[in-house]
Amino acid sequence: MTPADNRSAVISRAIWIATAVLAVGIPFLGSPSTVDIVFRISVLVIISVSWNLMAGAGLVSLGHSGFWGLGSYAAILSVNSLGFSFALSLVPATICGALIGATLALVTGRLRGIYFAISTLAMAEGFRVVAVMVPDLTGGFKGLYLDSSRFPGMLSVNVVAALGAVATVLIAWWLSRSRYHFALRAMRDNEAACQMLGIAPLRYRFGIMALSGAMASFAGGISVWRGGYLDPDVAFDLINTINSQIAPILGGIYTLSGPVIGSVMTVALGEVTRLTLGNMVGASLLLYGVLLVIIVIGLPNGIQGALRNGSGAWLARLLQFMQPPRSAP
Amino acid sequence: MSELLKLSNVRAGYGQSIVLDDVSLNIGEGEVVCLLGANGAGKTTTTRVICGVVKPVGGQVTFAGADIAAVPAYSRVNLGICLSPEGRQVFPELTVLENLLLGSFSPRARPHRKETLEQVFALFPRLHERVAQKSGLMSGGEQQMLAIGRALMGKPRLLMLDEPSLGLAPKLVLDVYAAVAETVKLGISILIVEQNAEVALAAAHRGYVLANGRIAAMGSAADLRGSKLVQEAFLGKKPVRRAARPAASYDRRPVP
Repeated sequence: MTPADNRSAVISRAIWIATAVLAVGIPFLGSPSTVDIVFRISVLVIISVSWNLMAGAGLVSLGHSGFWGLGSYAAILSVNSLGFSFALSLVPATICGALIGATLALVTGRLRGIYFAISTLAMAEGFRVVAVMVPDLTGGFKGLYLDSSRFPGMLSVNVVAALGAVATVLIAWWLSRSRYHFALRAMRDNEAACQMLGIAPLRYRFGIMALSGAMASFAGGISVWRGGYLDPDVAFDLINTINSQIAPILGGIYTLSGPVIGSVMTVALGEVTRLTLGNMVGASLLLYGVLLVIIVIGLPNGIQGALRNGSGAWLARLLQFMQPPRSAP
Repeated sequence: MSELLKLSNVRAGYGQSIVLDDVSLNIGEGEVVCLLGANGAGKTTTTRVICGVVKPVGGQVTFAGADIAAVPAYSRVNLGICLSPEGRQVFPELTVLENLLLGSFSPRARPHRKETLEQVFALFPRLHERVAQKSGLMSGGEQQMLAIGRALMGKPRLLMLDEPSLGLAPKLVLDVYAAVAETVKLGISILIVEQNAEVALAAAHRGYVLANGRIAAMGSAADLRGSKLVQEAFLGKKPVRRAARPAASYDRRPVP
């Protein structure tokens, strides 16, 4: 490693740490609107890192709103029915996501590509229908209100969301340095060939989907505490599936920094369109769509990829640390 | 010579169609055996049965004295059965080094991966030169070397090479087989599955000829090279007057 490489690695590490400190610090200091933006970015980081982990193993999910909604219901029901506190309510949310992720891995077995994607979509839609069909538990279309006596204050919620985002990225970083990462990456290329090398694809699918599901459900669980209300359409809103993919695709799919960069960009874009075109219904969505098409055509590797290859190479060197390092498996 | 792998009366196939009808073969420790056959004879299915991707419906597969019918494919690598698959199947997005290191994923091979890597680089200096290159960008011959190298990284006791000469220039075929000859010196048993009988018989001690899911002939490499069946079917020494006739006696016999 040359001294220049070393320096940029140090600088990029500093950027990561500064980002994490900023994310956790702003809830204490920032204005309410800034704090809210950080909260939305944090939650988006969690769910998009979760989506990106599965995509990195060749498993394209269209069902992240299912994990999200499940986490939301697990959190709100454990508070309203069992009297759980804020922090405790995130535990059943996370566990539910992990269980459903693992179950989905077993059920989908060897399904790949579009077939896998469709089955995840069906799962999410199935959950929504079930939530409508059991009004005794979920309140049906009337919905549920979170027991407000349990509300710990917005500060705790914001800080926990930021900490969750930091932890999620740390987990993804740790994974990217492990031999697990190599097995998953090889599965993305050729799942059949993996078996001949002694990699059991189902076992790795099981693990990554449980982890990814847990993360996404955690994000769903914590957002209940911001909204305080849940009905099936809110819980299983497809926007969460869409956002969880837009951020990594925008930022740079399969990379560590991609989902983070993409989440910041997505939320910033939403804010800008809301402020400038706020009174035109649907204008921000239209702009979103157009931008996404442009990015997919023009920057197939996302912003992170463009920085790495294109005219922004100088900046990419700074972000080099954000690439999964290529250590021995 | 003690026996390493033994197939006895194996029947296997895909769904309703039976590809291998009654295949028995064995490979000794340190022995090089080739399996010859035309397209569709069942050669690749045989390798799949041995590495566990296809489950036989009848017969027995024993490895190092133990029945391995219940061992799943990914665990057989840990027993020392490593395959360089037909069509190479390298991971195109990964570098040469990453491909090789993935070859030593099994717990048995992992602690030795540094020494094995040295061995593979000594065997294929070309791979050493290209160590940081994405494998998808390499030539077919280099990818074949990588596929063999990746299988060797698993510290095989039995190395299976499925069509290592497929689609390679004649010069590269010789290079690949020179490496096979070096591998033999490491004491690894090798099963070479080939259509190119000439090179395979030159490298092997013994051979089997597979036709329509049965062993049609077997013997030492020298015997097989001299046999009429192999000469006519694989070495292109077909008598002129019979050249136009489509079906020789061993060919396309209906499976009962």
